[in-house]
Amino acid sequence: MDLILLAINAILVKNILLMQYLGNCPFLGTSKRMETALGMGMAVIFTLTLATTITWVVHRAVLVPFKLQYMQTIAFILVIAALVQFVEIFMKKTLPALYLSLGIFLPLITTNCAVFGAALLSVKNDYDFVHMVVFAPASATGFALALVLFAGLRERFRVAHIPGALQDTAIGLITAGLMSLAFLGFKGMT
Amino acid sequence: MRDILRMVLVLTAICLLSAFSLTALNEGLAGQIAKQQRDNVQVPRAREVLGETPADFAERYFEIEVDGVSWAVFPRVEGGRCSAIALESTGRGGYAGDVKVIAGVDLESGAILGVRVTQSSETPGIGSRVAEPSYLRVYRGRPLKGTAFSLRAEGGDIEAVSGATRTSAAVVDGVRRAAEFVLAHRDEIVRRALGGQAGS
Amino acid sequence: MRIVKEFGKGFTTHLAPFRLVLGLCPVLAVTTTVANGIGMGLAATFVLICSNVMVSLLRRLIPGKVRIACFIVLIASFVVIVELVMKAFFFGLSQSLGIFIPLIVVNCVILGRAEAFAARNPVHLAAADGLGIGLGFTLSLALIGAIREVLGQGTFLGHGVFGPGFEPFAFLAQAPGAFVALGVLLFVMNAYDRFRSRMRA
Repeated sequence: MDLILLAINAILVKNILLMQYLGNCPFLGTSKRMETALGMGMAVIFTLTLATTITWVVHRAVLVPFKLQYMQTIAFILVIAALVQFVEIFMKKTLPALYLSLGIFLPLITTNCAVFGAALLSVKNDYDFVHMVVFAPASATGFALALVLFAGLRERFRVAHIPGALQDTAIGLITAGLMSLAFLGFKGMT
Repeated sequence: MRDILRMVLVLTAICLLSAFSLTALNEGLAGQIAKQQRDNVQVPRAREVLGETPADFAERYFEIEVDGVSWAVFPRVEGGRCSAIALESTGRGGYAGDVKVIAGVDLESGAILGVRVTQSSETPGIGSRVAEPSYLRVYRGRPLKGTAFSLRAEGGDIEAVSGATRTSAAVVDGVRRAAEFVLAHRDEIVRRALGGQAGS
Repeated sequence: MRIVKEFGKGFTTHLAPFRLVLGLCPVLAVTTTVANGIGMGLAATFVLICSNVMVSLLRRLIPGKVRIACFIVLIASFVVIVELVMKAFFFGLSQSLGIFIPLIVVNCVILGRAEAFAARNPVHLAAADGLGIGLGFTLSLALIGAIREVLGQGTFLGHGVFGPGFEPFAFLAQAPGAFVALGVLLFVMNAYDRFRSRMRA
């Protein structure tokens, strides 16, 4: 039961993108079209879950026993970078169509604050394995959800009349703000 | 082949240089970092549970190691007497991990002065209610020797926060361990406290 | 002088995050107060300068294929240095900035400058580039922080500004306000640019 609460918390109330501010660069960059948003969302769910799991294990099995917690940042980012490399190579061989459609977004996941941030958060909150395994994909789903919703809105912008100075990023940010406001409403749920 | 060798060498060299410098820096700053952590997290909580504390309270901190576990003790020393201590203890069995508590113990009356939570990763909302002083008052005045430090539901003396049984159990566990430690090592604690050495 | 030019562009054409639209995550998260904004900005500036200098010094030694990995290790190392120093001497700030200090590693500005500039330029220019963009970034953070703190909490650097009767726009102190504030600022800057180019034409 409390795991379900944790998941809902991660997807809606503390949405990793709209409430925790993690993952904004790709958010504004890949949300112009629905297909790219969906593709990026899926890729993030996959890599974030894997990355958080592996870094959690590294933290518990290596960093803590050897008192190397201060190396956390370096260890985690190296794990993520290596993971994304492997995922790229793996995808190229086994799912070439998906690999091509994701294009440059796959390597960009390395610098995605949401992935690194989720890994850091699950360690900071001191989750045990079960909680972490729920938290990671739930956070990533929250990210994907926000991304897809946003893409839907932005596709409408193409046919709306927007003053020149507001175009593109500025209106994107303001819209994100309004979405964030909507998500703020979920706070009443807990 | 030479290219790959060069790549590996450069990357390894950079990693080693980085690991070496960071380890050195960490060694150098570890003491300072621990002190900051203490002064900003544990000491305020310890002050909360003990009430009045003398000016040199933070400097009197020391650690006692028993069975490989290090206990952080904040004694209240006034006029050559150690009247009370605040002790940090780890309670196991919380929902999402351990819960760290600070228990204040009056060494003269042998009763608990207060309890505060310093670290918990429990479910926000209900779980965090366990950290509220209004709930933690349930520990005030409990004698170390006479109290059964477990939840009412398990035949003990402490009520749980309704809906947060496991978290409450973790807090009780922490307080119980602290009580047992004080009862077992009271003389050692007082001796160290009056020894006047800062640190361990 | 070239070095002055490389330094100055951090405040104009390469102003982060407005012109150089990178590194948004910390911008939105830490600008609740001016102090946090400046703290984050200076931390990031330190990492940026150090990483730029290091990358520039080693630019002929690092083989092309592993350069991103090497950059990441170097940047991460400086971030850990900042983390440790902050925990040791600026505890309050390190608590307020939280996970966004280690997140400096994935701040696209730093990796971006390493790749786009430091890897191809001599040390003194790389340092100027780092200093300029870093300080520009800090200024932007301070500005956004000022708007959000003054209007959202009624204080500036912790001191009350409007007096007790002021009802702050709590909206600005929270997540939605961050997005909107940044968006509006960007709008104002864009509008100003358009106005200027229209005046010139």
